[in-house]
Amino acid sequence: MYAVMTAGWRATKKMPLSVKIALVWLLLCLSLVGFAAWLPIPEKNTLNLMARLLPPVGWGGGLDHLLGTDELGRDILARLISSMRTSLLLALCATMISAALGTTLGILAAHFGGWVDELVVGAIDAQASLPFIIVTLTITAFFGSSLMLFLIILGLYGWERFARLSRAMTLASRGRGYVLAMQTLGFSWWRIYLRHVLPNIASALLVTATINFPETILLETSLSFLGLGIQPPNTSLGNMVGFGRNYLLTGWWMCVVPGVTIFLCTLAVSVIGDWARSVISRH
Amino acid sequence: MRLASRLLRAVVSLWLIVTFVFLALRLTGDPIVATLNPDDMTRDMMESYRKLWGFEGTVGEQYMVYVTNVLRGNFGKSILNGRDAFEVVLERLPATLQLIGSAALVMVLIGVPVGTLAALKAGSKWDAAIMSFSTLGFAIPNFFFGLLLILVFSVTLHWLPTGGTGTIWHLLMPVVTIGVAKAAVFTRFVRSAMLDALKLQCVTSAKARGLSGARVLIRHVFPNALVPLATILPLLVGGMISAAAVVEAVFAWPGIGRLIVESVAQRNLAIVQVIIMLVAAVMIVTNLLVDLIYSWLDPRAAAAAAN
Amino acid sequence: MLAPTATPESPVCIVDRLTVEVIDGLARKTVVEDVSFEIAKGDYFALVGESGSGKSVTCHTLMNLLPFPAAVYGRIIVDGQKVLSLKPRELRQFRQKSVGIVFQDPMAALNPVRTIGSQMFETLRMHHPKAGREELRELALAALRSVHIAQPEARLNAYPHQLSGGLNQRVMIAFALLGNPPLLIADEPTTALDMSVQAEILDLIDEMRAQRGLSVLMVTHDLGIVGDRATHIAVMKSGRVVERGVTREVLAAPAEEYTRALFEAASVNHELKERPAQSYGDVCLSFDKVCKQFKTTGGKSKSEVVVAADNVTFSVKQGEIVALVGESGSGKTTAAKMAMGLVKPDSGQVTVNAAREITTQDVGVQIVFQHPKDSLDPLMRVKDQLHEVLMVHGEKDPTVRATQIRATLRDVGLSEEILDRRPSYLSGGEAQRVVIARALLLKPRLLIADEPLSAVDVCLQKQILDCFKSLREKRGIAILLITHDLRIVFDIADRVVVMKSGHVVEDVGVAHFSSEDRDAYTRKLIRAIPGRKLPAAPASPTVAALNVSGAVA
Repeated sequence: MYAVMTAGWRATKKMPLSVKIALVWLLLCLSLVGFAAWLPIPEKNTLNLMARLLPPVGWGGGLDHLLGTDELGRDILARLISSMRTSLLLALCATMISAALGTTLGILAAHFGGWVDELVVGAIDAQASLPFIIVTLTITAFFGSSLMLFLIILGLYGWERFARLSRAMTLASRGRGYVLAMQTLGFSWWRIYLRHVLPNIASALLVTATINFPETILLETSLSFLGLGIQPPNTSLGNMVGFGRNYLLTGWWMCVVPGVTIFLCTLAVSVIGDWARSVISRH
Repeated sequence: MRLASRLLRAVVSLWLIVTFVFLALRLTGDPIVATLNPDDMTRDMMESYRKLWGFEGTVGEQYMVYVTNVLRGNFGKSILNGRDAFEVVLERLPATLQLIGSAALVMVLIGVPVGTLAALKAGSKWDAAIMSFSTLGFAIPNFFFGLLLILVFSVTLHWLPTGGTGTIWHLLMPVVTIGVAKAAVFTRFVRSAMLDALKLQCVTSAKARGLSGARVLIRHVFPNALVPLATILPLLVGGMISAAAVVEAVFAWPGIGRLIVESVAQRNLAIVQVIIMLVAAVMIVTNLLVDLIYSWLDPRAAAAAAN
Repeated sequence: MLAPTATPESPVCIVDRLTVEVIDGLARKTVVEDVSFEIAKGDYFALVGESGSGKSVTCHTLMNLLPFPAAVYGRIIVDGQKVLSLKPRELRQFRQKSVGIVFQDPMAALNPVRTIGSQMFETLRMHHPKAGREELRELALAALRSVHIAQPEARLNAYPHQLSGGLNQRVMIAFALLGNPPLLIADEPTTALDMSVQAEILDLIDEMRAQRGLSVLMVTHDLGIVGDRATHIAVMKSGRVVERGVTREVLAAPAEEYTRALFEAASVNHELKERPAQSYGDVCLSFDKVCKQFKTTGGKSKSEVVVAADNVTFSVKQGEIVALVGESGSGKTTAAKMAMGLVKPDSGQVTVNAAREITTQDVGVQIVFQHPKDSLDPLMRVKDQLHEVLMVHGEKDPTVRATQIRATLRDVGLSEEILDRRPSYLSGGEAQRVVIARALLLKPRLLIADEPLSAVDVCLQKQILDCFKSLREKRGIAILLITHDLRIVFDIADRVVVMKSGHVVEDVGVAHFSSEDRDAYTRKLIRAIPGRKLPAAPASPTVAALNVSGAVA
């Protein structure tokens, strides 16, 4: 962690423009989500049948509805912020679940070896080659859709990346490095893994998280778009696009606004992740 | 010997999937209620179905009957129209194969040359530009990209049909949607495999012997870069199937992907079952294939496996 | 087509004021600076220096083969051609005809996914464009025969991984000489090979040189390899040539401290004396008929059995330094791990300090690994790592811990200023001594050192060895030194145990180690010591003082 922080701090000075823009965008999104209640925008479920399908500012719309309104006259900006909260929060929680699960399994596999290792590696291989959307669809078909189940499914996405990485790095450090030395110095495994191995692989895990996070957003929004993820009355960026597609002719912004938002969020995280990876690999 | 053990693994994997589906079906409650639509039938009809499909007796007996049915290709009937589920799925297969095959072609035709170029010019402006495009392609959601294409080429310009099938013009947008997105990912893989291969000492040593640049690339770099690329084949196939599910729904493409989305929405479990088993079989065969290709491409792997 | 303008008298290779800068984005780093030398026809020219001294970059530049973007200044003329200004087509011609190169790792230098034959035909086709299949085959077989490869027909169909390292290196030499070049560049050609094979490869290069009138540019970190073979020598350090001349003259009176250090590290200590037996204490480590087998999981289902220890019996007494010697795969590292309790023997008894059951919690034995930086947590300050060791073992008072740490640092000759550094800011020698200090904090009676010098700068190797010696004197500690380098053995060990594929083939006091009635394998190892024929190193004017070494950053 420390290495990431110092490396990150030093690199801030020569951060490329694209990374700065990405950071600004993410900060903008987060502050919109955080301060939505204090912003002078209409409530997201307020119907206004007099103001249906108003275009955004710049395409003939007024300042009352910056990003226009939908077919029932609801403010799109308000709905967008609420959807961002759902999508970003879900992706964040899911990434944390999959990071925790994967890292634990990876370290356990490396520690115990033998059949435990074979089992975990088998599961990693299986998971990696699964078309995950199909799996999610199947589970939804069998067990119906609920938010909790959806979160668990999303949390299962991508754990194999963390597991593969933490297993490989733990094995590497066990094989020849400081871990072997500490074992001979009489350190307990708890101490070795928590105090020494984990901090040393944290930066690599963080970079993996920046790959997993946008993919989780894409997975969630895809499923919600298909109508099988987040269900109304809850909104997600994906189901906003899904409802908007029926109005491509009369109100393109209903689907373009949330679509662009998804794109920019995943892009921003990917750009930051790419940059972090190149900084770390240089050290 | 080796092939036999791999086949055995494949069969075991398939069996695990069948068992999983059986258990999942049991967990959903009454499998008859789950696979058939209870509103449409009388109690007697349900009882006779129960007898017909063996959902009677102990769980063990039910399991045996279920496995036998699966082996016979008997997965039940669609709740929508009562047609045999296996038939319904098979009908939709060609459309999906056409879509995925064309998209794979686009992916390879873009990914290989562009990825190679990026690796050869690593660190240059070319490389930076290619990688930026790759990031863009990765970040844009499939469904949104598809809708944008529709918005531009169908709604605004009226050049292409919004969806459906029939002509090559119908195929164009879905293929571009999947192909371009997957090419973005594949380009990265090609680039990193080529970069690794270019760093190999044997490439330097081939250059030192005075071989021409093209020859070094074709006979020394490519064969080594193919080895890691072969291992991501299942990943690519899985990604294609996932993408097809979404993109078929966007373009109303009458394939398996749209079928599973519809069936899940209707909880048409008989159809869903068939599709899972089909996908599972495809993935297992792909993995088997990769094993074979891998040991063919890399004699070291073959030697390690033979020991 | 370029007509070579070289006359028999002019040198085969002229390097004139060569400077190479690596370009990394906007930054430039000089890796070779103002290097000049000449190689005459038939010369055996050795470029000696440690890793990072710029010697490999220099020889890659000779063929215009740099693997990274770089700015190159100066003039290089090889075989009458100005290498740096050749057009791509001429450069290919030049590489085919004028220079051959042999790399460090022969396995990596050959394409792993193609047969030796296919790669050989491909190269031969350039030299003989009109030759038919059969003719090419004959040429390839002749080339393999000329480097004394038995069964050349079978080798043509083999992949590199199916041949041993030594055989692959022979194949590489055959490759390098396919175009009959006047100059052969050998970049550390024996470093990746087992020591008994090293001498064979060096002899082969000598033979090729004599047979074909080749000039040889030998790049190496080990002065011992070339001290008795090279006609000329240039010593490189941090990108510069610090000393250069006729080998005999340079070695007789090295002008540079650095050359002297390299020379000392390379030469065998000829004055052997055995310590009297009574100066040792009780037995602190003993192996009694220990057996251990490993199953390597080569494929997915089948496995191969490797015998790491077969009836291994030897012991180490208190205050004794025992060297455990063997080639890679001889089982010496497994023996160390068994002594640490990291690996359990299949049968037999490993006894440490009279305790039969060894656990990793046993602090009576400590180990020092090959890569010192690797055995320290890269994120933690030295101070925290040392404190942690004592803390884990129950010492709660920080001042007591600090006192103990200070005393131990003195023993290994480190100053306290390194306490606040992180491992990346330590030199290899400092890091190795921190690792030794960390092990000593637990007051072990036996210290196992696994190749402790191989990652340490040559100038500092002596400090580590002196550190071991003084620990033995001051603390009466026993040391089991695992090494493949017999020169260290002569320098420091009291007794030598030689292992070969899991067997102990020799267990003898060092004074009798080199006598002629030893085991055949032992004699082979001793004959293979590079630099065995070197004269004794001239006495160093400065005594390597442990107290000043803390300042070396």
